[in-house]
Amino acid sequence: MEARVRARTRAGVGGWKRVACSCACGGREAGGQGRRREGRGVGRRDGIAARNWTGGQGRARTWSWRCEAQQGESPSGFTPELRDAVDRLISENKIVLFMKGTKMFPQCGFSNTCVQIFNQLGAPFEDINVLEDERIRVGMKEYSQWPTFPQVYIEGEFYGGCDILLESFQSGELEEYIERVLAS
Amino acid sequence: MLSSTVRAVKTTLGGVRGVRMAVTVAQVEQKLKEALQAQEIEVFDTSGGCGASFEVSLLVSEQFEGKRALQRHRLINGVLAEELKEIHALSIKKTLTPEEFKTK
Repeated sequence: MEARVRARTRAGVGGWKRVACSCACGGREAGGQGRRREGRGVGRRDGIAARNWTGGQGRARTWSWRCEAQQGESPSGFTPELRDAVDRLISENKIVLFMKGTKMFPQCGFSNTCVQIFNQLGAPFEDINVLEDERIRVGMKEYSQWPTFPQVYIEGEFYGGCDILLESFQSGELEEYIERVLAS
Repeated sequence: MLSSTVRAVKTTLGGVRGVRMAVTVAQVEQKLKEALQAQEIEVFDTSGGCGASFEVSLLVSEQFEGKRALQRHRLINGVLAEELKEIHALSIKKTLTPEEFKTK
């Protein structure tokens, strides 16, 4: 996404320039201060903005710059830190449920089914509410290579979604598996 | 190149726009039949016709041979990758090989 704006220098060479970016970061990703007013970002002249200086006539110049966040991956995907955090979470907890809502207040029927199954088995599990953080919501779809929520991780491995959990619960396979997992 | 859910529509000013159409049961069935050579297939729209959530109640295919439940589901997800960008939920109930279907 590019923002083309006409910007005028306020303090001449070496001064701060106001540039607008149509992405949601408010210029922060480019090293700017973030939003001063709604919908506008401030980027440093010697940062992204200056690198994409396209020049022009006289005082009104045309900027063409691209917020760094959008040059590569999507702004709401995983950062390496977030990916590490998820890796650690999955390896440290035997059962992890990425769901919509919390275990106390599920916000989706399928997520609730998973919660009830684990409660029925008396299995302790970690619940992550993907509705709270868009980055997790988008990132986990890629991480698990699974397009929907809930997502069940047992012993650090992706087990499946609600259907798979329900099927294995009804066949008795899940109870056996979880008993082994919790005993180890 | 238009995706399977985008249709070309003529505008009043004589141009052409891509319009996103809702995913239909027919679309989902067609894709699964083609890609997996499904012998038996049952798909329902569980969102009351909105195309927002679907349930694959039964799918019998030889390609499920030797695969566990998760792998079978992943296979289906792969086939419906385009549609999954549009719909909110996909529920997959029974995935069987032809042999398993006979014995059920």
